Amino acid sequence: MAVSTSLATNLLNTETFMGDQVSFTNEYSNMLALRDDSYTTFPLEKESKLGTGDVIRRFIPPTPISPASLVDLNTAVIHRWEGRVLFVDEVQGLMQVLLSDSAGQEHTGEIELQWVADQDQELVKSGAIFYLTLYKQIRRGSTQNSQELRFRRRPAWSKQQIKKIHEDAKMLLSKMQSKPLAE
Amino acid sequence: MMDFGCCPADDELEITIFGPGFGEAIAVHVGEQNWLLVDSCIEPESQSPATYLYLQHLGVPAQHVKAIVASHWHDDHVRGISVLAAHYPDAEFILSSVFNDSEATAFLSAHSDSASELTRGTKELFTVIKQREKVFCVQQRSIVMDVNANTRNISVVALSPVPSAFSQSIAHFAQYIPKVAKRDEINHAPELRPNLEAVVIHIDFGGEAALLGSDLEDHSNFGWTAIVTDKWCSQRPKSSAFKVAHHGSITGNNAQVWTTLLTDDPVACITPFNLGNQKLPTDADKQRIKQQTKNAHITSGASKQADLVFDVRKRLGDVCKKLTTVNAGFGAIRLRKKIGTPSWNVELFGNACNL
Repeated sequence: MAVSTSLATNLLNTETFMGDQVSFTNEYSNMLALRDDSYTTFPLEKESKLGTGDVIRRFIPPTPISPASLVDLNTAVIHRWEGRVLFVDEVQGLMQVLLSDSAGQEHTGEIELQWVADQDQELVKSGAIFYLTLYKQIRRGSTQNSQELRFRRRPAWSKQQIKKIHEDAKMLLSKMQSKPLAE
Repeated sequence: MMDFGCCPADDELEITIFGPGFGEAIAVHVGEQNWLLVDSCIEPESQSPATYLYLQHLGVPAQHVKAIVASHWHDDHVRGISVLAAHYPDAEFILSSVFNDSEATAFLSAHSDSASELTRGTKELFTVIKQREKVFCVQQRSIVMDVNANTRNISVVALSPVPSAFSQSIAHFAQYIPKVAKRDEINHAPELRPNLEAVVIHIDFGGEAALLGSDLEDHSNFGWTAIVTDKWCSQRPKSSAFKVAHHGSITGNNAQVWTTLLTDDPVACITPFNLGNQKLPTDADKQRIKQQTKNAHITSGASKQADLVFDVRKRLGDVCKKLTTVNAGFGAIRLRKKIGTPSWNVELFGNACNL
């Protein structure tokens, strides 16, 4: 069924759209069903009342998203690094790290292990990769800073991946040639 | 970019060592515009391979680069080597014979993903080998390069690794290859170990010589001991120029290297290693090296404070202490001499200085 563009445009321009996403979804789905009271009860398809011969397919609106789970437009990422653990000092409770940002700048430093979330503690090992993000949130005129440090958790290697590793290894090996030895 | 002046003359030998504080790269002119490149590091301003930028500055055409050696797989020695190799497709690409092994290549394959933005030595080597039709492996006594220039035979050979060291390295690599049966979850990159598989290069210019020590360390049976106790290696012409091994560290030191393989008071060049708490050479290392030669130089002297914008630096400082910029002191040491002259002319660029 071809949805009238002008109808949709009108709806987008009305105050209805200025409300929340749920209201808009309901309004639009009602419009698609041409305000048919049987919209919610008819089988998946029926003939359009416009007499066009078109088939109306029952529109199942998307599940409304809770506004609280939407991305907070007041929060900005200030800077983000990918980090690698160079060394873990269990005694001092800190890790030596190498931080790299998207501009190619690199820094080393020390981060106390208390910054690592409990569920990531087992991942803190030399060579482990983590992501450090600094946020800034402005809400009701006040600024709140926050940061996130999370470790990369890779899934277990799949059989296909392991197979690919060995195929690639074979390919690499086929290219190796030994240089002659001097007498 | 620093002003490096002009290309060496055909009868002028040159060894230029780049060191940004984390990383190392060497460009060698053996005569008549034949160039050899060893390892790769990134020039911080341009983020390009340092030796590529240098040769571009000198106006060296790509076909004059005859070989590129990756002395080992550690990040600080092969950063940008895949880009470097792509610029010189006709140059032979040479690496340690330890990689002529199915487990070693599986190790490279397993750690060649692009998920991480951080450069990985394994990813660099994997990329080069994949791009090429063939690559060449060297071990002790292998001929790296053999050219005639200025009526002399220039012989570049590898003094390491020794095959007996391979099994230890391969056993280490094998730990990081995922096994089908166990469905391993490998969350971290391999740890670096004492380096016994690095390629040490001896360059016989036909009467004078140079020794490039890579990151080879010492061990009772392997490493430098295996070189100084080998009759063939110890009979190589003594070198008057030495790229000190493993950033001047005590683990890369073997006193017999100075007496067996080097002339008196050789020109010694060191690239530092500044990463986190690890800073090489230490003061004790510097003292030891200065006792062996009066002519010691280092490519980079110091690291600076973090150079992030104030707000970001302040916020990061809440989480990360002792923040230090990597590659804050990029420098280069250039050695040049006309064939037959007694000593090297040393030039220091950028942050390079006397030790």
